[in-house]
Amino acid sequence: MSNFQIEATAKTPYISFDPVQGTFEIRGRSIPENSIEFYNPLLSYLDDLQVNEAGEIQVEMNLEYFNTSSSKCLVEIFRRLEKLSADGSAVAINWYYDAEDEDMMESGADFGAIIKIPINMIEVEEEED
Amino acid sequence: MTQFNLHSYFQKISDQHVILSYKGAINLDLLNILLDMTEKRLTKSETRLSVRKRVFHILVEVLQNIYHYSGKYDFPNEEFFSVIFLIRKIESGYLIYAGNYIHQNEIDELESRLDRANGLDESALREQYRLQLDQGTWSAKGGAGLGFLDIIKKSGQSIDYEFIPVSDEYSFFSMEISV
Repeated sequence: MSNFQIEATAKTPYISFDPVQGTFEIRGRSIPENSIEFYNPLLSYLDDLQVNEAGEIQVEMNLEYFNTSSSKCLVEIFRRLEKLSADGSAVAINWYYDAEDEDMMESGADFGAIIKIPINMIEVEEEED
Repeated sequence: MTQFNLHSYFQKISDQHVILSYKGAINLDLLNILLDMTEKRLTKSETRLSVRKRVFHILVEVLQNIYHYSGKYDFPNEEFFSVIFLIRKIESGYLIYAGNYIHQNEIDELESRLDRANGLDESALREQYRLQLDQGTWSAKGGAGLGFLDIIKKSGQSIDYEFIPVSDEYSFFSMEISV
């Protein structure tokens, strides 16, 4: 299967999934008014992904902001990763948060509490303004 | 000059430390402009990254919420499409106000959702939030019922609200959030 890639905009994140390298990254802001519409192509892509194509998946979640409707879509993404993991892919998830951003750390913990794959919490130094 | 005293209006906005306000109909472009402007002003007024992010985050929820609401009805009167949004910087933090018209048959549901969310303590709030995130169903606007929970969780305060009837069918819904 080919790569999945979407460039970032002011309200939506950069997304990249490379099944050959086994890398999946979401980076930036996710505050679209209509999150379902934005995430649907990615969800369909993940639905079609075969385990043999995705033997190992290293997930990098590096979000600056996300709205509540995006958080529901993130759960949907994690559900697909759970399925790939249950079917035999080795899925590892890194959740990055700014050292000063307690809320983003808590969000990582919230997802960690409801999905079956462990989430690796990674603190990063404050970004420069 | 006419009866409108511009200087006293100006003075009032200054005295109340209003960072940004908007009253009128809202569309997608305007929503983006308001978010963008508020974010730029917050960058100037707030040095703490965590507070800035928290205020911006709540603003996104509040503005997207009134945007979705105002697009929901076929109001009989042009004025009903107007919303109001205001952000003030006070000593202890920020106050965010938002108001829009809603149909009266929605008040009960909205009120019970707000009361339920306002009544939760910190750990119950987190539990409810996770439950909703895990099992909640989508609403037509993709809200998933997380908005109020998220606002309360992030602001650490309950949401002040009021419904003021303006006709047999419509009420003005206002919210005040302190961050």
